[in-house]
Amino acid sequence: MDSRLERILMQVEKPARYTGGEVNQIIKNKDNIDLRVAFCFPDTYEIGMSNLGMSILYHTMNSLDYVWCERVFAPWGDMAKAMTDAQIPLYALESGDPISDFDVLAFSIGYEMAYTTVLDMLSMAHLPLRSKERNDLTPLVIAGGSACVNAEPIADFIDLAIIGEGEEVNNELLALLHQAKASGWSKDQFLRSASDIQGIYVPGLYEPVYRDDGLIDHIEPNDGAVYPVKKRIIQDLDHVDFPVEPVIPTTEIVQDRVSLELFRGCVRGCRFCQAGYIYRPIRMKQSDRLVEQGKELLENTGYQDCTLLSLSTSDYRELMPLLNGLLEYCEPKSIGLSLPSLRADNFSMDIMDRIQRVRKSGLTFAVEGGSQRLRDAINKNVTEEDLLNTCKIAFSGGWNTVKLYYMLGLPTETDEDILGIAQMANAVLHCWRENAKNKNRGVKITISTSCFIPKPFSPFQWEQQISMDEYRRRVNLLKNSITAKNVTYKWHDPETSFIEAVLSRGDRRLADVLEYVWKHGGRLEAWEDYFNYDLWMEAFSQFGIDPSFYANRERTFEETLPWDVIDVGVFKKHLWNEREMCYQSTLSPDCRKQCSACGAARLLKKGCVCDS
Amino acid sequence: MRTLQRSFQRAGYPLKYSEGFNPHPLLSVALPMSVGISSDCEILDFKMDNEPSDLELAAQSVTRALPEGLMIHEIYHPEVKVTAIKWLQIEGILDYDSGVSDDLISNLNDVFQQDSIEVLKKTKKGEQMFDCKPHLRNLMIQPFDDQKVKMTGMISAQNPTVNPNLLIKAIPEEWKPDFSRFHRIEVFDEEMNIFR
Repeated sequence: MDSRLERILMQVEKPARYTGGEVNQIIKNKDNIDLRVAFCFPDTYEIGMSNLGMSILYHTMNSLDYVWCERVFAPWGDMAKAMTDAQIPLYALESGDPISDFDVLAFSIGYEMAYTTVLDMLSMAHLPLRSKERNDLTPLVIAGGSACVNAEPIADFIDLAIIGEGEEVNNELLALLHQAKASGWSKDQFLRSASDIQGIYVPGLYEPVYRDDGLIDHIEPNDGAVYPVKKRIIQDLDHVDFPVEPVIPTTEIVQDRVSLELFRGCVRGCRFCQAGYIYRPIRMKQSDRLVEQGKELLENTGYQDCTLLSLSTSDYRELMPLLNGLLEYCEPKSIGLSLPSLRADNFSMDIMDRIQRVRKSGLTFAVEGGSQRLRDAINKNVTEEDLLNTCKIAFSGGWNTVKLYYMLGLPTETDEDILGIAQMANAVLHCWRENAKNKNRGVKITISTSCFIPKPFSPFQWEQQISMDEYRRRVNLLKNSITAKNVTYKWHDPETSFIEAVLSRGDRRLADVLEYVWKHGGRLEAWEDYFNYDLWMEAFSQFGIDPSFYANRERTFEETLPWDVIDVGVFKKHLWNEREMCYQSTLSPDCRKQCSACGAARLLKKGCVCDS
Repeated sequence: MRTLQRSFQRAGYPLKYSEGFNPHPLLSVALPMSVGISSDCEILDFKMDNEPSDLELAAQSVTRALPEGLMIHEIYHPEVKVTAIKWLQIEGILDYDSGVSDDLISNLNDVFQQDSIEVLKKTKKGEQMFDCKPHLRNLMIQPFDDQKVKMTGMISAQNPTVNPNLLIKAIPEEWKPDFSRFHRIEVFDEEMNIFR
């Protein structure tokens, strides 16, 4: 580590974020390594170290003996300034070496607001931002993560993107790079060859052709590149490489616990949800395998909490055997289990009994729509009866804090639907009065709303986002109709949602905007401390771009979308059918009740079915 | 603290937890440390769930489970309470980027030879003037190299606690170092016997 850092670390907040040295960090001998990978998470240490994907891929990439993969996180503002002033370049935690000398900079991007931080980290690493300005084979700049299903806004900055799950494809890419380095290939040669690997998208090989009206006419693949680029999945989650000795942070992070991933994909098909579609087909991990991994992880880490992760945990078929198996180990050691992502409609006494601990935290349910009609339209199959039944069980069991999440601005939403949110809050309050054991403790009901953002690869990818003024009007409508004093209403500001909506369905013409925002100080924009709406508006104006073109415009089925170059499995036609059903307020059955042949099963090996 | 607690857990020597509504591990570091201080002599006061017979083995196992740079010298049953800790032997290295002048060392020693050394100390009641002198023993500054000097001596560990940063505060502006780092060497009781 640079000796000037000793002094800087004494002046910054939470210096332990920047030192490394944690238990289970992977240290290799530089002399025996052929490829150095800087695994860059474009947010702070506490956020990145809580990310399971990063933990998995850190382990799988390091399993190659000629690769040393080290971690890099975005410094907080005070540290970034101190490093820039002292001209200390961005370094990897394990070795303390500047990452400009590494072979690969791999960015894990989970959300669009991280884009400017990606640029900032490239700049702090003293590398040219644009792919075209980096002519050598290495350092190679790659990106992966859920935001990469539409990587177009950052297409000019990265050399390639990983589409889908990285456990296998990352290592195939590294093996190819290993060969390319040894054989003296040029960067172009390497990228062309890499694009033949399923799951690798090389933006430089594709050219969007624009019409006079600003829409995309078509996307032209060059040099015989495959179109579309199909994502990669891991077929067998039970046997894929998974870390049982994760790096244990020395300092406090967001998730100080063991994380167990139960399954990938989701059977529900809620129409606003990108994750449910881009992670299809549904693949489960067996419960005995999970119990085994859970125990090993708890023993190897010493953590006192374990969390079960999935998009919809109550849909995990083997949930009871899993809970029983884990509790047998956890209960005598006072280790707590948490189950986020429970559905509001099947929270049972059984589940509740098992996750009860001395300290009861609140229950959170994503109801999303204020009326049954709207919930049917968005395919969120939750009835008021189900929700109240769940609350009844929770309240009689002693829970007294309930959070209900909604979105405002969903397609077909009316004022009547919004008033339904207040009515639901009253019904929940009434339910508490009828069922709570100890009313003296009082009840806390929180309603939380955020502005709906249409996402690529969801059935609502053609929708318009409502204007910020319209969102504020709906917020006031709801605010004025909530009268009960034990009900609190919190609403997210629409400004971040608006910018996110622009980037989420953005195209390559936003590259200059991103660079402008970064150049004028934009970084860590997912944080309220740093997000600067005015700067974004200035940037759009600077380049003659109307952000409403991206956020507030309704698309037609015929339009070529920027992300049409990517195939996540689900057919575009299926998404459109789902959208049509929304406008008829019709539910679709979940995948278990009836398969709608969405197309994701094509990605499985022949003869395999989803969710088995 | 989390790190220590998890390391005991991983090594197979879980700590005892308190009873009641919000159980926490029974573990405390006798002398709180600020960021940047290193030490050879920290005293950790704790209770184990199932006390092992071989304490030496336990010390080795927990050391293996600790992050690099932390180690357990010894685990033993205390005969005295940690409130008996009185003196802390320290060593500090002070950086002078523009170089150590000839009279710097004697000037610094003069500061600490004074009969009283008043500094502004932050307490719960706000800021108050505090005389360090009675709570220091044998404080001496010696040369170290052409850009660093070494400070050695004893400071009061408890009742009151003297933070080494107060010693730096006591140095007048013209002789203040550009940077300093402190290391704890040993802990002693009132009678200057090594505390264990």
